[in-house]
Amino acid sequence: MADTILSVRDLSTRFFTEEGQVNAVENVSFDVEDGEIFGIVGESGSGKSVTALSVIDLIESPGRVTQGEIWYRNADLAEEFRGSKPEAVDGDLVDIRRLPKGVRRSLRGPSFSMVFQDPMSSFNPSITVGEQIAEAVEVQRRARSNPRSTRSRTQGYGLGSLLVDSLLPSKSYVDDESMDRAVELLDQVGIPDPEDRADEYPHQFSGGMLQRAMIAQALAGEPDILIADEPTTALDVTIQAQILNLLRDLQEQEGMSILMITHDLGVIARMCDRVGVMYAGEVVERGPLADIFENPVHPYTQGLLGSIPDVDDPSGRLEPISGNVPSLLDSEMPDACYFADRCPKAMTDCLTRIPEYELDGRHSVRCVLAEQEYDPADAVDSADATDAADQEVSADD
Amino acid sequence: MTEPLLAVRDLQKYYSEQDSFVDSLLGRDPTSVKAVDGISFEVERGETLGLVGESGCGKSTTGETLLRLREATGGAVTFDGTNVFEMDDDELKAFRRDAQIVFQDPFSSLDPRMTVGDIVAEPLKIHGIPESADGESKREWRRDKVADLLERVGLSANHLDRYPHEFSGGQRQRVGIARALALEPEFIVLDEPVSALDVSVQAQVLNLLDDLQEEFGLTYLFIAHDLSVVRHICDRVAVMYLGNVVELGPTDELFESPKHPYTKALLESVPRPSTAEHGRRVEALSGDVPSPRNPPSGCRFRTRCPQVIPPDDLDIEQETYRAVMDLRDALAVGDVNPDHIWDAADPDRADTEAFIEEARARHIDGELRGEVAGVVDTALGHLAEGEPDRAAETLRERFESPCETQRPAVGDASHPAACHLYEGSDEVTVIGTTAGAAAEADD
Amino acid sequence: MISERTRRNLRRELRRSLLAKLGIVVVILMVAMAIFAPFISPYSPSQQNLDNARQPPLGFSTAETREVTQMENGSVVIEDGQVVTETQTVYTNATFAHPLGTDGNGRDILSRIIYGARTSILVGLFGTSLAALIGVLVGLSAGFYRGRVDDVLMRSADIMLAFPSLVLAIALVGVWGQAQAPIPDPFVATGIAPAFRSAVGLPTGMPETVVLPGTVIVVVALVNWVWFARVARGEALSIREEEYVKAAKALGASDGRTVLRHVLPNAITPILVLATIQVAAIILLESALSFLGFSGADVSWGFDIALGRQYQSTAWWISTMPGLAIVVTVIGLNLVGDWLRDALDPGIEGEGGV
Repeated sequence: MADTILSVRDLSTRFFTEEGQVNAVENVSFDVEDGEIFGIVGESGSGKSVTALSVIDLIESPGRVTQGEIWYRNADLAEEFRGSKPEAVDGDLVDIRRLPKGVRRSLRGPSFSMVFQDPMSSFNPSITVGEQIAEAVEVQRRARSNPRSTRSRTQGYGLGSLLVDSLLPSKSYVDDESMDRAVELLDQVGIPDPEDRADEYPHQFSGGMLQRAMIAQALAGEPDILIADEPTTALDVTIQAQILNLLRDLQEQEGMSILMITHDLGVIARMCDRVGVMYAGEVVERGPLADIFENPVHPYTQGLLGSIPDVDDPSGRLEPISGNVPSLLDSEMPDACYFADRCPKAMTDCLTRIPEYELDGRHSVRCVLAEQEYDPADAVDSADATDAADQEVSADD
Repeated sequence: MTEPLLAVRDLQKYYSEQDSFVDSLLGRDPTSVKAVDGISFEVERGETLGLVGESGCGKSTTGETLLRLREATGGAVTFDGTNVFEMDDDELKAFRRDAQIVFQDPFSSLDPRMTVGDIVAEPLKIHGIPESADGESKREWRRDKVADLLERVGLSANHLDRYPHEFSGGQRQRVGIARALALEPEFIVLDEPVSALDVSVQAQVLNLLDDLQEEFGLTYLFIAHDLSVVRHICDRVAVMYLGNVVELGPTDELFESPKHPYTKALLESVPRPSTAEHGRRVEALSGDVPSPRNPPSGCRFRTRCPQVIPPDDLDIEQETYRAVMDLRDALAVGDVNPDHIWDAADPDRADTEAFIEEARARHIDGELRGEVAGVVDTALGHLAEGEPDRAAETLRERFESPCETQRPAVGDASHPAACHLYEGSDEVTVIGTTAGAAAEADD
Repeated sequence: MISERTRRNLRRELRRSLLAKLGIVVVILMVAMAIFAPFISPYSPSQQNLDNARQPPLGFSTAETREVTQMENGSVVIEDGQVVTETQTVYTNATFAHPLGTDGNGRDILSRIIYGARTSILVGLFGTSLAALIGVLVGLSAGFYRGRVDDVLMRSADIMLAFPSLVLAIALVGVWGQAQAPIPDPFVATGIAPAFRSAVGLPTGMPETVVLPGTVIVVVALVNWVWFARVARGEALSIREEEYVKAAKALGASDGRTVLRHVLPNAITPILVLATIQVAAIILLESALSFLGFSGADVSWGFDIALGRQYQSTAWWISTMPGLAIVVTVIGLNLVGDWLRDALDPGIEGEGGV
């Protein structure tokens, strides 16, 4: 069995907003293994993107990761902190949440990098694509020549160099070597004529091409783990096929792991080796692809699979989940299974918080059905599960 | 066969850009974006016709144009025997009672300043319904009717006085459907009604649409980009690419035996949510959709088509031909920079042989044989001399495809495909001479 | 009409911003002052007392040197065929009777500021309403119909903008003259105010009418509608692309109905913010016109500044006090405008969300 490169344990992220505390991610645990593609699937508001941002330490105020451990395998870091922070080291694994801020930041690029959903807003419209990728290359190079010195990476970005930059052509602050590497990266992600395209601006790229460019930028640091947050959602299906092919090729070439965030179960099926299904901030079920798709235990997973029309088989009526995606406001979260109010198999046992049950070594589920059969005699009217007086929208009337 | 409810003939919608005051002063010709470029189809009573395609293919424009929400630039739409584009104000108002639309975006399609009750009652007020109400005021009558409609689409009558922002996306989409139903129309254009919704909610709305169709005998034009949804809900499907309908047929037939290479590619690309999908490598279409400002001559799909037809007298493998065509298109738009090839092959820029070899390695996988190799090398020789246009011209002379000179027509069969591969008895529209097509491809 | 969320945003922004609170207090005070002038004004604004002219405001006193004819036993002293004068220093002290001093004719400045607020606020409100009416009508039509309608309407708006507004206003007043409408003051006419005043022992004899400077109102509106037109057009341009506008069209709604029911209500926020700030701008313009003598109002801040100008070296307060009133009002209105903008701007709506 492959080694674990990333192991997230009991991660919780909260947003402290005007309206109240929002529990965006709640006690999430999952592992990513070497060279695998791990998928997180969920509907909007399920916390899947926030999970990704929490791993890469990009949660901004008013949000905060409030608890949990993020174990990441890195022998060098483990060696370095074994003496000074023994609680953060376990074998080759380090808990990056306990590492100093500067070190955490230095992991972005060589350890984790991220591809976002909307390539248009991820690039600066006034700088050429090549230059923006070269900049990422340069940041990584400087970091490597002087590991984890945050000062070294700000060299060339001070007031003095700002003056120089504004007097000289803007390209001057990425050197030729970085630019060459940027062209190489563009070539690697399948952009034709990379030398010329490197000198073009983001608006001259199509959506698919720009998504490729963003992947090139993410590859600049040769990351161990690529986090792809809905990388094909904004794209048409034929372009999506190109990007998915590309991601798989890169994953095989570079031997990296990919954490794939998406709402599309089809993308999950094509790409991922193992899957976590998220609902209302929790991972409700996770395991190998085949287990999730063929033997789903959690009624939400079943409902999700039953909601998707099959492109190869039109027969039959869809079996949607009734009701709506719940609010994540702490004050409105029931002290019960979060899915109980929509669950067709809710029982009295569901009216407490449900722990994660291990089915076998690799398949776990946050549902009482893991341990007992559904007993209609014990059923609760789903509306009782929460104070859902206003949510009487029933879909399949 | 009975007369179709809706018949679209050669519908055309061009948007002109650069049409400002200054432009007209300077006498500039407006450049046009050919969003919908001469499409025809019919919608039978009680059926659901799917209109499917990728973004920018003109499917939404078609939906809005045939309801006269945008003025068409050509063609005709006949609804129940009357030409929609020639209706006067009264006829148009009557038409609006019969033909409605549901929009994609549940957030922008409801006026944020009106209550849900007012939103659903608005069509009734506009059309002065009820004309008379006995026993109760018109206002009460409308309130009852709205409450009824809301319950019919799965909302509660208690929601009447709430504002749209208090609802989730799926609930808002139900409000939009209730509004469209208020006038008891015969025909509804559903413009991507579920693509903004989460899958679980999407399934609820699809089931609702199914039920409503059955209950009220509705006819739908279902516009979507999601092929699974189309397969589930539609009786017949029209596939659009770059402003044209490329294939039209009964849903099962079209999904099980697609004819047009574009339809095949679309179906191939869809990720299936099943374990069999795992690791499936899709032969993805290369490149991007061309701009509708300057669409390719002949068949619109020829620049990406994996089955583009070589000239009769040329012995060439399909993949090689595709690569040569891609090279030619790249040369024609100036996307091949000989300097980079020189830098890699021979920085002194003397060894033309090395240049040609490098260029071939970059652009064409596999071996070239005989005549093909000769022509390609000649063209690359021109490129080495810094004349990409001449290189493109050389390739065009020998490799011109029937796909670029002739626009394939959609036939009248029950499952027509606008592709030269399926041209038997179907008529062929010749849109220009070779020279004309070449000039078109040039700019 | 105002949604719960809007109300919440308004309250939140008010809590956060001290300046917003200040602005609201100032504006409320000014409006209250204008409305209840007959109750709170210490004197009638036109009551003269030449013996008590140019009395300084509280905290100040003046020492004025005058040439005084020398008198001896009741007759003028003449030396060398000339009347002998001597230099005398006359001290004038502030009194609580006139806390802001008196003007060149001995009228109480505080009373004039209180009554001047009526003119300013009347012109400000009516002028802004008229400007908004014209501007919004033009702007919404231009934005909704685009094309030639837009070209014609907005080019003419641009031409309006090219004129310096004050010059244009003066020219218009010059052409049309100074039409004014005296409206009976309801508090005085009903006798409530005089009764109140005699009960608390204030001098009576307040003006019986409020002068509504008609020409000025029309002129300031004609000069300022362009701003409303621009904002309304911009809003209409974006709202017309919203799907609910398309939906209204699909339902068979007439253009008029669509604009009134859908476009205007959704464009109202920026128009409201603009209107608040325009009231300030129009008060300034009215003051400028009065200062230059074009308004015809005889109680007006701008007019009083002009009256005090000749005493600028000896009695600064005559001009300064109404000037301060203008400054405070304009700043107050701008602060309220900023508050509305910050609270209602949809650009920052949802801030703090997930």
